[in-house]
Amino acid sequence: MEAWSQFVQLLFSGLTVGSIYALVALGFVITYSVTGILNLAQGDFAMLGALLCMTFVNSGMPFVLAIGLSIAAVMAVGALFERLAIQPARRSSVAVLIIITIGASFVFRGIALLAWGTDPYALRPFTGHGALEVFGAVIQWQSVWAIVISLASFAALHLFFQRTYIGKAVAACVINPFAARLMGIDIRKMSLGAVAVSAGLGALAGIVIAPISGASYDMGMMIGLKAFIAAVVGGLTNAPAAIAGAFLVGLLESFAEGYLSSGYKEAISFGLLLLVLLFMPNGLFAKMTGKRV
Amino acid sequence: MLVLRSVHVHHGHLHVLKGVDLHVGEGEIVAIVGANGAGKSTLLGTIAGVYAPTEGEILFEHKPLPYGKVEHIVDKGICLVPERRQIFDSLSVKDHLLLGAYRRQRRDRQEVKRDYERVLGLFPKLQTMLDRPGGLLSGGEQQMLAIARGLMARPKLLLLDEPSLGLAPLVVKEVMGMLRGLCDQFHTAMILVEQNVRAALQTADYAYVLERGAIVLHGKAAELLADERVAEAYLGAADRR
Ligand SMILES: Nc1ncnc2c1ncn2[C@@H]1O[C@H](COP(=O)(O)OP(=O)(O)OP(=O)(O)O)[C@@H](O)[C@H]1O
Ligand SMILES: [Mg+2]
Repeated sequence: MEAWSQFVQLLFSGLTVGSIYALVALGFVITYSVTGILNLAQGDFAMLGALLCMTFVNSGMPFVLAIGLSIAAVMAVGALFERLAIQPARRSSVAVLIIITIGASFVFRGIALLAWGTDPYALRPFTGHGALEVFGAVIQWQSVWAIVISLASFAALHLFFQRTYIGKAVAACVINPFAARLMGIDIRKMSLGAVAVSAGLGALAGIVIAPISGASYDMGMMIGLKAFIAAVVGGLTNAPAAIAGAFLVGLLESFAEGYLSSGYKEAISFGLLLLVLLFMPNGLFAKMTGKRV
Repeated sequence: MLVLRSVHVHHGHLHVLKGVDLHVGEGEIVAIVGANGAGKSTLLGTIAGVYAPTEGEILFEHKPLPYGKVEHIVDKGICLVPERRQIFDSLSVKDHLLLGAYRRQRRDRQEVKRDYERVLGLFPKLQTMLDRPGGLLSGGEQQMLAIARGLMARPKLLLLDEPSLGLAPLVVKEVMGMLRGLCDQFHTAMILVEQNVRAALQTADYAYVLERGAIVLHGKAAELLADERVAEAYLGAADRR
């Protein structure tokens, strides 16, 4: 019974981080699909969201309002970043664009360092400190929130792309930007929207995970890297595959940490990245799923 | 309604259009024919706002066209149906048509709806495959879809780039045969770029021959069809069916 409850415990912790990685990985995929840019500052949006939300809550703002406001603020940061850093450099080489996003990541981290310092902060859980007992495993309510919120976000995005007019216009830009332009779709606006939404997803991820693992100026680095691995495992333009990749990374990490030792955690995800890049550069699910969006 | 005055266009260092003069009247079908690489697609792309002229001017309804943004030119009433159709593989036929009206979608929903019905009336084949992804259509169906998508923008001037490309002779006939009726029904003028010179000249009112970036010959389509130089250069045995 002991072994069983440990398994459930690790499973849930893997699903929890997996859903966080998945939200950030979706940001990678959306930005990359629409703009063709690999935004390595993606993880820092999670950091900004978490720290802003913490500050708003500490200033006495109602929790829900604080969450909404911090997501909106990070989306505005994303939009600004797109207009000031990405759009002017649109025609540059891929390498230049990646370096720009790395530079932006340093800027975000620097600003956070000045504003919040190096100490980690705690954000209170969405609904009390209680926990749930499943098969002898203790599962925090915040974990349930993380999983539910990410699943709800995936469903909302899916509906947006499948059912709404504007979602289809975005899909058109992804499939064939030239034809989309000829129909009068403004791809610069789409690019702005894509980066802003990706930033919002990142912020949401940061806010959801902060009650579990805290918030600090440098938290974006690891989240961003893991989500990046997930997105690459999924092939970068395939949203469902990126989500699957994120849960794969989360579960592998969790079980490696629980059954082997915590030292293996990072080694495993980076090992996975190397294997995928070496043997299946189009992603682990390239053959299984075919077309994206 | 459309006037080009000595328009020059460069692709990087490549001087592609070297002073093109062209005129399209209200409701007219104008054909542009010429060999591969003559600059036909570049000419259409320039009118549609994809490329900017380096010299010369383009007047549409007596006003210079705004350059730099394709969407503004769509708003003015010019729509390009590009070479090789450029269908969105995974979007349905219905979505293609609705997205064709992207610029008007919010302004006049009712009219978009009416146009949707009218376009489907014109292409009854599409009516039967509304939910099919564009990528699964045959070449001829894709071409019709591309034209229908262009019409949904309600252009005053429709630019067609090689609609007969890759289609079987019978399908070419079908597509070309529709063009006149479509212009009349939607009150639009048309520039038709074609490699299939005979079909183009049979369809158009007026025609221009483009060679290496310059107009070398122009006149009424029927006259060009009878012209010896045209017959020799473009209506060779291979094209006689
Ligand atoms: N986007 C571009 N960038 C650089 N060069 C281009 C571009 N588009 C066309 N060209 C060049 O300009 C010249 C004219 O091309 P264009 O496509 O206009 O010819 P075309 O008459 O349409 O030919 P085809 O009958 O093969 O379609 C060609 O030499 C081509 O290589
Ligand atoms: Mg061409």
